[in-house]
Amino acid sequence: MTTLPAGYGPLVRELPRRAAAIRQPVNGAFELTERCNLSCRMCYVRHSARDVARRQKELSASEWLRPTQDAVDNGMVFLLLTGGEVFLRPDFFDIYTPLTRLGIILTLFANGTLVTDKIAQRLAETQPSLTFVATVSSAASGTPTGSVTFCDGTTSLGNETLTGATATYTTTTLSAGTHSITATYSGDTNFMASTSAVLTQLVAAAGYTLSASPSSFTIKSGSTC
Amino acid sequence: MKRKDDLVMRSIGGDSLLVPTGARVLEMHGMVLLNSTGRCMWELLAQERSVDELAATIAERFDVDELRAHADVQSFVVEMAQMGLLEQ
Repeated sequence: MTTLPAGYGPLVRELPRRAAAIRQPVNGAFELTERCNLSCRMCYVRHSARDVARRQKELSASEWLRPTQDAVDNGMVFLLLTGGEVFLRPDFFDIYTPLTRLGIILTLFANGTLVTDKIAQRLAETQPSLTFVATVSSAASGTPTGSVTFCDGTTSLGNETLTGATATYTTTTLSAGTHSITATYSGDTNFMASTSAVLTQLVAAAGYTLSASPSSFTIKSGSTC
Repeated sequence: MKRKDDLVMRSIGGDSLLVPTGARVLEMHGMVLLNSTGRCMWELLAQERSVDELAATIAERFDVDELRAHADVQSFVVEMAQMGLLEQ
């Protein structure tokens, strides 16, 4: 068996590859709601926040626990909670808090607009990992290849290879406080190198608030923001 | 010494991970990857153990003499203690 990589990002990418070799379902993604307070054109899970019929179809907090435990018992280690917008659910922490006790690595996808001080405080007490997603877009046809380098100010956090048009960087090590995150696309023979606008990320610790603006990057091929 | 109880041992593709739970996530900022001897020691540390007890078990279960086992156990418990994962 090959030696595992030392860095957190490379490690969490290598472990699922090893799990796949023994058919262990190591990754899970739960869509807690199909509703969202925004209606972004590129998103396919954006039913109205006021859609009563959709809301009534959603599993309750207690109903989520059994499939989660089943998944953990069968090998799930990484779990993404997404939607829709997860913070539309007033019972979000009734789902989230029990999950923090199961020994799973949690990631949240949220648009950031509904994160109140109270929510930030509760997330600070039991943190998920922090994930940045960079999407390389272009008016031209074809799929960009290459990699994206994520930086905190001038410090490189990690270099991630594009899968499709996106690159994902996950960390649990950013210190509390404000971080200026950028993503730089390397470019390839068909797509020009480019750099995203700055994402301001406030990492929560007790007594801090949490915000992200914007909630993800879009890098336009050839742009130099 | 014994292990603290706010970490969960998980297996991924034959590798062993200690995943923090609850507030421990804040302190660890990550997870701990254990090899087979590390996993064995962590499981033994569910109960109160001395370095000598751990070393004797490691020497018995793995192809290593007691002197080497003692040094490896000492190194392991120091590292675990530095991460705050042991009750002394």
